[in-house]
Amino acid sequence: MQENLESRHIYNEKELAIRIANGDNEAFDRLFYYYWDHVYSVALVMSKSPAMAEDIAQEVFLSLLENRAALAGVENLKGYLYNHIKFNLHKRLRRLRVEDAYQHYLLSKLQGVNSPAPDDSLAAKELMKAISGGLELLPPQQKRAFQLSRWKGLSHDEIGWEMGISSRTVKDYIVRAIAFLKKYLADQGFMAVFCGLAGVIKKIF
Amino acid sequence: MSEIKRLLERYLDESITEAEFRELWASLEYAPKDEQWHAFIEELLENENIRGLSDKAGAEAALVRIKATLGSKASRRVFPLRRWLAAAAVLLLLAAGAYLWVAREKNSVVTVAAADPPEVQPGKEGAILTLADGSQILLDSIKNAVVALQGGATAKVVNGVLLYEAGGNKVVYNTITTPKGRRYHAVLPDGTEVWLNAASAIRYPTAFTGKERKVEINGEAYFEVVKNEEKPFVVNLENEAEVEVLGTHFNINAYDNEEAIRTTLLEGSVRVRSGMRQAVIRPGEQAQMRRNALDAIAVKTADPEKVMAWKNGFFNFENASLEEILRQLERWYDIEVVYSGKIPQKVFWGQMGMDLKLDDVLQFLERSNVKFTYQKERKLIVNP
Repeated sequence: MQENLESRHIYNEKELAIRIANGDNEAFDRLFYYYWDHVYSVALVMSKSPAMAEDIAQEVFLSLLENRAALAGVENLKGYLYNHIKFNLHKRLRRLRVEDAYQHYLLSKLQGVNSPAPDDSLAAKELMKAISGGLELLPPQQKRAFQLSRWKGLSHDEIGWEMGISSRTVKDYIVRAIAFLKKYLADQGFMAVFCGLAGVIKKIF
Repeated sequence: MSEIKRLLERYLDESITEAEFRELWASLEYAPKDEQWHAFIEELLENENIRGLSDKAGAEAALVRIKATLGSKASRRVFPLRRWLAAAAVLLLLAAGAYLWVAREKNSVVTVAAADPPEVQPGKEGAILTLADGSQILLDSIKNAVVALQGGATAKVVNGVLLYEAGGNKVVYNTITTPKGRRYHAVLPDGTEVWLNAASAIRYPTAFTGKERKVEINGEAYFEVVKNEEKPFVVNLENEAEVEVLGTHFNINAYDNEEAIRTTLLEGSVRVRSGMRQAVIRPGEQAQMRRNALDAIAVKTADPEKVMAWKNGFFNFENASLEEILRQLERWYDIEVVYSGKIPQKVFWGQMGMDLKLDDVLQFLERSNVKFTYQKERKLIVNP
């Protein structure tokens, strides 16, 4: 069923919106499968946490469904959905206190990647191995952009020049690669664990 | 390029400095910047390079959850704040030991699977009521019933809550005891409400006739005291300390095996007394008396969310040591924890529902490379 939905486009937004407003489950599922990846991907990039991204994306669709009656009067379904996403994502990030958010940022940062492991502990080696495994699953262009940035330390402009693409695209590739690796590592059961002392973090990274 | 956009781009490619991060986060609170945030998110949504990060199984599971949640508002947001921290598994901060460290889930899960643990269910509502004559009534499965008549007072259970109907002035004492794996909610004869955590007890008279309303507890209890300025409410802690109350909401954690007795005030005002010392605490503060120096009272700022987590049905493991966590699990899952070697020195962050099975909770800890073996007779061995 999902395949069917994914392979189709939403031809008549107005009609779909009205069907959802009227409680048509199949219509809602179609919208859901069409847009889930959009919402989830952006939420993952913005939150840097697969679990939080899932939460945010779920919340977006849930609030859509809870207020589905309003869809009857919606002319631009995509615009309406995008507004839901913007509002929810912004709200969720705002709820995080800066201390928590920054700690989360540090903890989830793919830092082990751009410098050699501080010691050759088994755990650090395992992480590097897993990251290499994850990189293999990326489109080759993205993998290359990521490697040039994190391992060679090149700037976006330099990478763009070397790969013959715009630095704008380089940036997109790196951002996507980071998010992809985070999800990959989480799915593999990894999580980075750090000492809480700021000084130590600085020393290592 | 807008200022927010510049900062967000640095945040996304992880080159942002701490100062910039703080600036970015501060802008979340500043409504005039909302437009720039929204514009950036819209750009990301339109950006076809930022796609394809979801997976089918995740989408399907999410759709099922969305439909299950729809129409049951109560079950939404089990954890009002920072729930994602829990979901992201318990992030771990080491107290000592200073390097990037990675725990692998799969290896350690195998350890437990090999031990073939039975499913240990979470605790539930229930307690034992001990009457003045020593007879005991199991309150576990009673929803609605009159359970005792004594000294003119009637004790009954209404919707699973024990309460008293006054009558006569004869003072007889009752005790509610929660074993491990049980918690209970009761209304005392003066209308004061008490929630007892697992492995706790409260002793009180069936009528408060004296100058004070005096009760004794051990373990952990949360009180919502009915205001009566002429009759202060006094909680006695094993004759070692006292908490005197006018009318107020507060939590006392006085487990024998915790290193301190902690009284946390949410509303009103209480005075904590121990030996010659006393301290008055205000809402949001916590009085701590260390077990090995009970007459010294330290007043600290409390984390009410953490303190009240148990009453709200979840474990709050923010900045909690492995030992601290396992002490809570011992009480709630009615298990005995044995350390087969050195106790792993790890500190955890995160929250979890108390309705999870033991195995589900242990999996979170195993991700941080803590190894367990489950033995018969509810014994959990922690391997170094």
